[in-house]
Amino acid sequence: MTVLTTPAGIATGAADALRKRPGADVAGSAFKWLLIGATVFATGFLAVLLAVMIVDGWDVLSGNLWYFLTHGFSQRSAGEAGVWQGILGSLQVALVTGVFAIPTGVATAIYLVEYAQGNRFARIVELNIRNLAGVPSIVYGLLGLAVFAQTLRGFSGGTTAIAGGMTLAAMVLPIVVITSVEALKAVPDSLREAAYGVGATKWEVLSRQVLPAALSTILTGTVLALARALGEAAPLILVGAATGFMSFGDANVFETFTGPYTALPVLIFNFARQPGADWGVNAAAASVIILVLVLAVNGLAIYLRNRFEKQW
Amino acid sequence: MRKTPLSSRRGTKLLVALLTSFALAAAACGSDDDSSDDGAASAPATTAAAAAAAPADDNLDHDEMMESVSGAIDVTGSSTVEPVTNLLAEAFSEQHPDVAFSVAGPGSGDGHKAAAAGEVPIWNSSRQIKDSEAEDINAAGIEFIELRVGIDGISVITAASNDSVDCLSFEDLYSLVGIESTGFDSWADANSLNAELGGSGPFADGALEIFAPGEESGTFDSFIEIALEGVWEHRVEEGHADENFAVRPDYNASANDNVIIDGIAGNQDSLGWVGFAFADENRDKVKLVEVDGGDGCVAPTPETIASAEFPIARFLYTYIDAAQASDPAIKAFVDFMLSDEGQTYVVDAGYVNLDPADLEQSRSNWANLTTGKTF
Repeated sequence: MTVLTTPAGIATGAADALRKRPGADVAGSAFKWLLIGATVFATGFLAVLLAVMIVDGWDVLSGNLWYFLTHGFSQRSAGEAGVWQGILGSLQVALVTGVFAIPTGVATAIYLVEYAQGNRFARIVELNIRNLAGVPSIVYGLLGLAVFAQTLRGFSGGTTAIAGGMTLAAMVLPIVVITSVEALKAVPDSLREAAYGVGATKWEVLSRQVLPAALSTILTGTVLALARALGEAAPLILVGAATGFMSFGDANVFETFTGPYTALPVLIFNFARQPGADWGVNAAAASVIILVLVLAVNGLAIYLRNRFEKQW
Repeated sequence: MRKTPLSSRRGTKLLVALLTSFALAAAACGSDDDSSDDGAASAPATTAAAAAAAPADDNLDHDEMMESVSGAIDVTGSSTVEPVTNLLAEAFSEQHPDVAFSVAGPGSGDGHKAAAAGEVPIWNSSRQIKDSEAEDINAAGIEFIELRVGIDGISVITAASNDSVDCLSFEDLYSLVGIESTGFDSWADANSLNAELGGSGPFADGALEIFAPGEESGTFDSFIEIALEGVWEHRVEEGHADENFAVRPDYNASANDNVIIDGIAGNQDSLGWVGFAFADENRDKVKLVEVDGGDGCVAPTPETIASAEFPIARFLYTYIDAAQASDPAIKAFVDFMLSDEGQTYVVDAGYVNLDPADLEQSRSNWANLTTGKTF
């Protein structure tokens, strides 16, 4: 097998030839530097944002972090306000979101790819789901208020963490479906055909071959969808998240899901509109905390991907 | 072929572990709360709640009122009144740790809408309820009790460094931000209109940058009603002004008062309006302009606002669903709101106390469960 008989070999040879004549590929180098510039701009922007938030929130992050993390909202002064209700509320909402969005979304994707297999109905559904992914989150807030908080009041208990979580589940569902569909489509047909070839049933092919193979991508997609849900404030404010003082009263852990709730982004919204500069410090510190939370969730996604990644 | 079932099992385990850790985190935070609440609690909750629920008439003596109640209190409505409710709820929770609170401040209009949907027992408004809103609420089978809880002055502001303006009359304000000023981008542009209206001009020239609340805000409504409407209606009658809009549409509108303050502070010849509490808090950045409502220039201070000498002031309202007024938690909370101690939080939030006659009217509305608009 000589080098130049495969397409990859030809490409390598051509690249080698170009490399021998520096300056010949002007457009290529210009494009490369343009890409590098764009990358630096994008990451630089993020770095500046992060730095500004850390600097602005430093008074709280350095001196008062434990108090800030373990106390609830207080109107009395910025120094007395904390975010633990927001952290708890965000985790509760994310949990409810996951419980509703992940099974529904993955099941939809499996149906679309493995059962409907590109028929007319599946194509229409998929197109609609892709469009739904672009709907602004505030629209899902209106939907959540009307459907989950009002119509389904008997189940959700009104404007509660359950209603908020279901609203965000509806919001991230398209993302879960799309990533799962892509993951399943990426599983080579040869794997399915080989399994059918040795006499496996459809259920065996799906449960033993296709799903395990697609698992890493599905998990990554769903965890990233949860991370997006963690950062949402607008739909939750519509679905009655407390922007101000909040307490659970004598509720136990389970009852907190059907009582008042708030979330970190909602608290940031409230801190940012209070008069006085020291509230701005709180807003910046809470922003850093939510970033850490979202980065942790994204880190989990990367871990899961590496853990279950399959090479073909 | 052996590898795939293995990773499938791992996946399941991992999902279970993930969900469990979420649940544990929630449980840990939840129990933290319970223990801190228990620390602050003085009386056992359930028995006290029963005791407070029994005598639901007006003969509660002071000791019974101080007993701990339990229940849930949701408050929504005006973001202007929200800080007062937050302070009240915080203090109330210390005596009644078993009451579950949720205080939100989406806006006065949203509060009345939530009330019409039967979602909240208590809602705030930075203006009096509109007749249309009252009809919607009544149409839903809900009767409301109206209480005045405090007074908020609306401050006209400019940059702290702006020395060219000290006092503006209603005519001046209309010639600068009224509908007929649409398109004016310098103070001098307003001079001919100002002279026609008999204002205090001419103004020293400068770039006119206007920052103010958007139309979803109660502050926007109140400013129009108090400062602009008189002149505007006169101009509509004379055929000069549009009869649908009182305010020029080309200004920087924001729902976030901090954005307004920053905009005012960052532009030398800016003009705008915000609630007195916000302006007062930011005296290092913005200048509170005196306002002449026809009786001379008056600077906004808590005293001039309470005495109604300062012309742009509005009452802050709280509304209560009459059907839920006998709920022990809600009764105890509203009693606390109207008590002398409760009224101190109006001042702590940056607003001004009612004069005794208005406070007495609110208290008697509450004691007699008088429904409908009463002010």
